[in-house]
Order: sequence, then C-alpha cells, then structure tokens
Amino acid sequence: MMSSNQKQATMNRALFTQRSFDSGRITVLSTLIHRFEEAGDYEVFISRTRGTPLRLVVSVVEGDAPYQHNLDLSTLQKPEERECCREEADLRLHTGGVLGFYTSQGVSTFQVRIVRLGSKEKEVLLNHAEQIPAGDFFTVTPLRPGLYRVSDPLNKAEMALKVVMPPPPEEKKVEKGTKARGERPASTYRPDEPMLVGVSKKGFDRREASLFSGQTLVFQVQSAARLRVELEKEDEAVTAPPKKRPAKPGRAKKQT
Amino acid sequence: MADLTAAVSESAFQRLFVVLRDSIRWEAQDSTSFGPFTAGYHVKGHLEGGSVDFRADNSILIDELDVRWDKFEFTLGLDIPEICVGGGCINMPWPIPDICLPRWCVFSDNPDVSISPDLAAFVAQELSIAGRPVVRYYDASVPPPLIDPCGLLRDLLVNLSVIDPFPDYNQWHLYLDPDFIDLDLFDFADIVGDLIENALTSAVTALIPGGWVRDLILAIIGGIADFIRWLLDIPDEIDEWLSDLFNISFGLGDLLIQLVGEFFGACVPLLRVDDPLEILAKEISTAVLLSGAPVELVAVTVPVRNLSVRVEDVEMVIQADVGG
Repeated sequence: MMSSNQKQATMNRALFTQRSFDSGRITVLSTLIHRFEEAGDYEVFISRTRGTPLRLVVSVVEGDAPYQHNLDLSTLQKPEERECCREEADLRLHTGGVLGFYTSQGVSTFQVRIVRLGSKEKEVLLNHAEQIPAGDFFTVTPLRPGLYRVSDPLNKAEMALKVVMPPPPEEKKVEKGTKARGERPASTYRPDEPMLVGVSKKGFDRREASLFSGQTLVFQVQSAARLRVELEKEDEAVTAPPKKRPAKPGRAKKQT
Repeated sequence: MADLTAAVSESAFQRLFVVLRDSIRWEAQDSTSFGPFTAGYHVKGHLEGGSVDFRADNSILIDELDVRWDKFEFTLGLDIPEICVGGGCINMPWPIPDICLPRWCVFSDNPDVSISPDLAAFVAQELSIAGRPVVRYYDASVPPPLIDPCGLLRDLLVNLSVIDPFPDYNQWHLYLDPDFIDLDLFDFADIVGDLIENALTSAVTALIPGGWVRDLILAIIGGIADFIRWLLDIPDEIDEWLSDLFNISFGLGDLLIQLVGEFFGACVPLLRVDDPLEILAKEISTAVLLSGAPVELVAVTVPVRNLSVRVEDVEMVIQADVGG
C-alpha cells in the first residue's frame, strides 16, 4: 500500500507570465540599479501602481558602509500617508555604491525617483519612468523561451535576444559508491551567470545575444536610455501545449 | 537430595514457549527531522516459528524465530527548498563595485511532500535467543514497585487472556534470562529503493507545473531523482540508506531486542510453581456424615523450598525441597 500527500506549493506564478520588460517600470524579473557617485543624502521615492509613494532616505558616505543594497520593493511597507520631512537615513551606502530595486513577486509595477537633498533646487538624479541616466544599470531575466526584441528609442538602438531552454540534465544512473556524501549533482546549467551588454550613443555593443531561460541580461547604461525587451516570437517547440494524438482507428472484431 | 524432581522435554518446552511467543506483539512509531526531510515509521509485528534446543551448558537456544511485520509504514517527508533563477554577480572595472543581482524563486514557501509506503511485505528478519533459566521467587505480600517496567506489558497480556495475572499467593517463577539476542539487520531489497524513489519522484513531479516551466525547473535542479537524492543526502543506493536509517538512526532493531529480552527475561515467566504447591485438590466426597452433610476433603498443599532448574542435553530438570 502506498499513500502520499502534498501541500499545495505556493508558486510565484507572476514569473511565468512576464513577456516584456520596460526600464520605465520595475516588474518581476527586472532590476534597476542606480549608482551613487557622490557622497550626500538622497531621497528615494518608490511608487507602486496607483499607490502612495514610499520615501526612503539614503546616506552615501566615504566611511564604513556597504557598496550595495538590493531593495525588494514588494516587501516594503506601504506608507499610511505621504512622508515628507524625515531626514534620518534608512540606508547607508559607500560612495560609488549601488542601490538595486527589484520586486520578488506579484504583478505590481514600481517606479523610482531619486532626488539629492541639501541643495536649494531639488536635483532629480533618477526618474527612470522617463529614462535611465548614464552610469546606471537595468537587468532583465527572461524565462519564456523565444525571440525578444531589445530596443532603446533614445539611442535609436536595437538588438535581438534569443532565450533558449537550458540543456536537459544528463539522465545517467549514478554508479554505486561513486557519489560523494552531500554533494549536489553537477548541473550543466547555471542561472546565476549574467551577461553584460553596454548601451551607448552608438547603440548596443552587440547586435544579438543568446541566454538560457532564467539567466540575466545586464544593460550597462553609458548614455541615457529607455530600454524595452519584448517577446516577439515564442519558441513554440517548448511553449505550445502538446498536440493531441489522432485517435487510433478501432480494431475490427473477429468474427467467429 | 531434593524431595521433588520434574523433567520437561524439549517438545513440552516448545509447546510452552509457543504460547508465550504468540502473545508477543508490538507496535511502535517514531519520527525524526533531518533538516530538509523528516523520516518516521509506524510498525506492528509479531513472532512466528522458532525451534527450541536444550544445550548441555545449561542454556536454551531458541533459533530461527521469524519476525513478521503486520505493518511497516515508512513515512518520508521532504521540504523542497526554493528553486531560483537570476542571481550571480558581475565583475566591474574600478571604480564601479562588483554588482550582485537579485534572484527570483519559484517556490516561495517550502512545499511539503510526503509518502508513506507500507514495506511489510519486503522486510524479512530472523531472531534467535540464547539464555539460561533463572528462578525468582514471587512474594505476593510485597507490593509491586512504583515503577514497574513490566506492569504495562503484563496487564496487556492479562487483558488479552494470554497469561494469568500474578496471584495473591506466592510462586516460584522460571524466566529465560537472555545471554544474547541476535536479530538480523534491516536489509531492504533494491525493489524497495526503487519503490520509494518512484513514489517521491511522482509526488515532487506533481508539484511542478507542466510544459516549458517544468523543463526549466528540471534544468535548474538537474532532474528530480538527483534532486531528491541531494535533499536526502543519499550517498549510494536508497535501499542501503533506508537500512542504515532503521538500523542506526531509528534503532528499531535495538527496540525489538530490548522488548524480547525484557519479555522473557523479566516480565513473563515461562513456568510458575505455586508455593505452597497443591498436591491433592480439595474434594467433596459422595460420602456423608451422620449429620447428613457431605464429607469435604481439604486440599493438601506442601511448601516448596529451594527450587532450582538446570538444562541438560535433552531435558530441563526442576528440583525442589518440599516442606520444612
């Protein structure tokens, strides 16, 4: 007798429905990375779709501070009302450090605006709804296999991105006694190997790129850009539902 | 010289033993967490077979007792860790710091998968006991100990009418004090390993959506079978891992050995001799007194002293002094 039971797994389904990316809004599988080149205090406003913006104060210092923070926007507390005047730092970064904005789950989109504090006139360093300034990064991690069109209207640039399924794991039986204790079987596929593409006034630094599904394409913005990555053609060989087999003709009954 | 001598043959002892053997039944359950997985069991079993051999060195060997498992439910639960895409770092030239990217994970919770196959049909073991007869005196006037490890077992057997309760008079009790109890190690066949692996694979597969999403997840985890082996930290074959689990981690064999040892050695006597021993039962004669009342003959009992037992090649000899 065999019985089995399982709790329904909580799937992060938004990951599998994402077909296009736009640097003007942060969705799952995309990340905006802003680099703070100068020391000082900065206000970061994070707006969720039709929501009250959340305000963070980031202090960039020469002293002992990390070079990177990644903020998961989906986990940030929603503010009750608009904040304006608090000046104590929520985050500290080292000069030249980067702040990454991403959302780990859900279908919400986010926009980020960064303003420098202290100067008489508010200096907007980043309003990525309009464009990503030079020195920043934008990343996409497409999952759905197919052919994507990558474009940047500000620099009038285009490139093709091919996303393919990872190679299937080798289906070979592990020989008795050969596996070292606790050792994870080697996989030929590494999702944590990103690819870097430069974006400048001359356009992208390559005309096409190919990734395995789940790997990340990182755009290093050298000239202000507005990046779009859109699925143009699905790889139907892997995304189409299996075709139904035609019904077999019934076998004629033998007569006795 | 002893006043009383009785001999028990091997075959008579065998019949005596069979009654007690059939009364041994056990049920046990336990579970342990091993980090990413939990393993547990719920077993029920009994003994069958077994041959009695009296040996010249004053010992008794009960050989080839079959351990029969009526239920051998093995539960294995997995907490599947998150399966993630993205991530990694890019090395940037100075003064830009190296940038590490976020990851997106498919299973935000730990989905639990558990299987509970009943392996009773696949587990076969033999048990042997060698021991010496030991005589203990049961004094009915002494109250039972506050903590009696045998009390529960004896009460259970009494309730099932397998044994008589300890009486309100004294007795000599004969136990078999084990010198050793030998139980085969749990040794699961390849087929059990395959059974478990297939059941786990099916359960994990059912959690993962189909189509290209499944292909992608399989590529990340490197195949479900390998993924499961990694989770369970299995170095070799699943059947060997399972054997170690029962032999070492659960120590189910030790539990069984302890049970059988306590049963024969301390809890349930093989033989009881009343003290005083009734040698003529009470009798109501058909004769009548002059008054017309029936003649009543009281039971004739004799006190039993210095009861001893020794085992010889073909029989067990019980000797005692009477009276005094």
